Amino acid sequence: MDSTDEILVEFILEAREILDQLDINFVALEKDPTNGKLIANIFRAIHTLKGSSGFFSFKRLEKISHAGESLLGKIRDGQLTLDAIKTTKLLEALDVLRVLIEGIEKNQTEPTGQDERLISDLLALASGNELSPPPSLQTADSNQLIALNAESESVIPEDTDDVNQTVMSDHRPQELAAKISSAQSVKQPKLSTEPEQPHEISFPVKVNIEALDKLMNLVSEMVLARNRLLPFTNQYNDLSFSNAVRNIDLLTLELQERMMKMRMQPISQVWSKFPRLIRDVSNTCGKQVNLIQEGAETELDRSLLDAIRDPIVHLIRNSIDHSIETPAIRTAQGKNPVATLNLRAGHENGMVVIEIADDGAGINYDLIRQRIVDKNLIDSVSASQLSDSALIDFIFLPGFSTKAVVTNLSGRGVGMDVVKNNITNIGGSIEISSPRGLGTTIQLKIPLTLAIIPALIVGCDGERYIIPQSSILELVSLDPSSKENGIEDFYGIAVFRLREKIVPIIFLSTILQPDQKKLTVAEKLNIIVLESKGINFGLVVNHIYNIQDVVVKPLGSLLKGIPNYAGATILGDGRVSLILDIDGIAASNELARNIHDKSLRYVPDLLLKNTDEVSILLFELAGANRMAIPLELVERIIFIDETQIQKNGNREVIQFTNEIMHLIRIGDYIDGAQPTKGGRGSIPVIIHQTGNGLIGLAVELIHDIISVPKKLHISNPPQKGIVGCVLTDKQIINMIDLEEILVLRNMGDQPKSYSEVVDVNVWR
Amino acid sequence: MHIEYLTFTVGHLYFGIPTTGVLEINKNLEITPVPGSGKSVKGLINLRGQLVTAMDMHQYLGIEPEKDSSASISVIVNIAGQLVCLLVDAVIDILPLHELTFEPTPMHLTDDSKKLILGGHKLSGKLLLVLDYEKIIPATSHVKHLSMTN
Repeated sequence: MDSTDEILVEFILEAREILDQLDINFVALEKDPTNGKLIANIFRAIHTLKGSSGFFSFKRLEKISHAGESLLGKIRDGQLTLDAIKTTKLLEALDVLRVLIEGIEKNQTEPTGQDERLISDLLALASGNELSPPPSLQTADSNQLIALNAESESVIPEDTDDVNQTVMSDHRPQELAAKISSAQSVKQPKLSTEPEQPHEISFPVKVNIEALDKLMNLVSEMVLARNRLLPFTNQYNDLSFSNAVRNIDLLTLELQERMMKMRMQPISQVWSKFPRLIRDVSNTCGKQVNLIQEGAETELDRSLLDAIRDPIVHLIRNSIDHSIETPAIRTAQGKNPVATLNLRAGHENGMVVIEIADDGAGINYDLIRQRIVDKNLIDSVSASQLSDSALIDFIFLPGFSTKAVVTNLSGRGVGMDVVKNNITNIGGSIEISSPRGLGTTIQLKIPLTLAIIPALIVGCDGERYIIPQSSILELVSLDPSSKENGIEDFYGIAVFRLREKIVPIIFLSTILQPDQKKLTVAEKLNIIVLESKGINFGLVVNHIYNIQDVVVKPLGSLLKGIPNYAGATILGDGRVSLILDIDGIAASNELARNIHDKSLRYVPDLLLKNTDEVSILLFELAGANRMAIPLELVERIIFIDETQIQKNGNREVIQFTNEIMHLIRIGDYIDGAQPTKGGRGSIPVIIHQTGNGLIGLAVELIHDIISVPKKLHISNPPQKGIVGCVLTDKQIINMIDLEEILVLRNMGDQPKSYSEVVDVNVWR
Repeated sequence: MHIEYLTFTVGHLYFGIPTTGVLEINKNLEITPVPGSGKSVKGLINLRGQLVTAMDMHQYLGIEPEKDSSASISVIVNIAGQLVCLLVDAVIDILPLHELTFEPTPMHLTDDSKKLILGGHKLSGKLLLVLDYEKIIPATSHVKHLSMTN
């Protein structure tokens, strides 16, 4: 089907709808003949019909509707009153129109016929004359047409399609021949008006968006119900049951997919009209513009699509009228005389981003400054101090225009404020960037209230969170204790090196629970490297699950204003999960931003970093607060509850990942420290891997991981449990002697003095 | 004129809301916590595909939870088209009450509660507090304008 056909189909559908509506309106009008609103409706409908038929040059349609419109116009304006004769005439006209439309549908062209009588009657009524109707002569043409139509309806079952089908399936030639001839003979007389009947045009059904939403919800529920059903197939090894479930599974899947697609429409629906618009506008302005479209297939919710149409049209006009120069100027500046206008659309962070970029002169900042002063918005001194981006903000003021001359395109100063309002009304945002002389780029960010985005599901503190895939650069698994590539302290900010680039990391659990205590560093860190507005940072999560398409649902008004979330979704098991707003997290975490700004300057220093340093874990014991253990010896850190500690003979043990782990209160073995007391609730435990399994070292408090010079000052005289100390800028830190502590413990707490320090190189 | 009230308890207090705003009553719905939200927001609930914000009525009304109270009963109400789940201790009854028994807010509640209570119905033996549940969603909750440029 080519495009003209498509437009024709649209026309027919529209015309039918109008006719159906007119039928209803006329009936209502008969009951309430003075209802001005109804008459206005009818008038408008016939007017629309007239306009469209003019476009297709369906002359009969146009003339009849024009005559009807004249009569209705008079009635609408109160010059005439609607009476039975006029109603009858109008209905008659309606019938003819319907027949014509049906003819057009079957034949693609207007049926021929004479309507002079009907038209003159309508016009006569419109000019206030009474009709002198000899009943026998009354509108013979239209009657004839109606009669023809009735005839054609009776013939329809025997149409050619039917016959053709018979030819293919039926093998009895005689019967066939008879059928064909009969079909032909029936068709013969009505050739002129009703020849072939091609395909039926199927009607689209108009559905309320709310009804779709409800249906959508039901479908998601259906999916969840299906998910609960699936495990049963494994429990009951019943083939027919499994098959039935499998069937439901497939049907649900398809139902879900179709349902989701139903509301989404590609942005090309709006864009397809732009080439023409741009051509017209640029011709009017005497400019040459080449349009490039990218991402036209980006899908957007239908209602949003309607909402962004006008703003984009306005922005395109602005670009051509204000930013893009005339070919002469462009040539003089060494630019291609044909300007380029880029339209880009795509998904970004759960938003649809639409970019309108031109390579014109960009925003004339000096002119804006001039206008601000002219309009007395700001005095000239302050105006001269405004930055370019501050000047851009003035564009959004109502009534602000830099155009001296008002054209029919722009210059009236009605525009950018309206554009901004329209965009913010649907929860979107608009950003303009225009580096001097480099054209203008306008970015619209439109939320997807019902958009489906691919997202990564991660786990943190026992909950699952969703990260839009668009902001994810890569996933990194990091061993924090590794000397080569661990977490480093960058002036108070945790960073790690990703291919020799410093990437700051933030912990999701601290973002979500800022008042949470010092973090425990797990044996492996799952880092999601994210990008937000050009800033890269790592987000540490506990678990990384899978990638899945999720439906973004807005949070209710009770949860507005939390920058961390972009919305929520319902996962397969029916649980709600929050969708993280990566931009919001990056913005609310200023550290990530700061370090990025500094990183260029500092990277060389860090690369030259003294390799004779080592990471140590700082902790505290009762009575001894500067204790440390080399990070290499730390497997991980956990917190246990006093009640988890159990007795195994005279030893204390705890259950850890299905294993029995010995617990050593190391304060008992170290000179200067007091034996660890019980009854404190949560105890930090440093886990160390020995050849015989894990042992837990119970301490008082865990402080930090720091880097210190790899120079150990051996204790002299030897101290029990301490191998020596290291110096940092301010303090002396005691390194525990783990070997000795273990030996002491295995000797069953029997005091024994060591004359020599056990020769252990803690650095290895 | 009689109005039907759904009555429930939060802590030691007895509350009622007109049944016209109540969508349904549910038990032990799974709640996803929303870190960073206000204390009175317990989290989000999936009610047949719809997101519903669950309110901890103890926190919201400033009532000390009694021992062993789990507030696991969800009263789903419709406030201006938005569904909100009120987590209460127990649902008691549906009572048709006459407006003659109504009296303004008693003074022994905390200031917060006074703002949230329309008044009380004097029932035999106890007082039924009529909760102004529509105030849960602040009237000023409109979309904030996003900052345009930096």
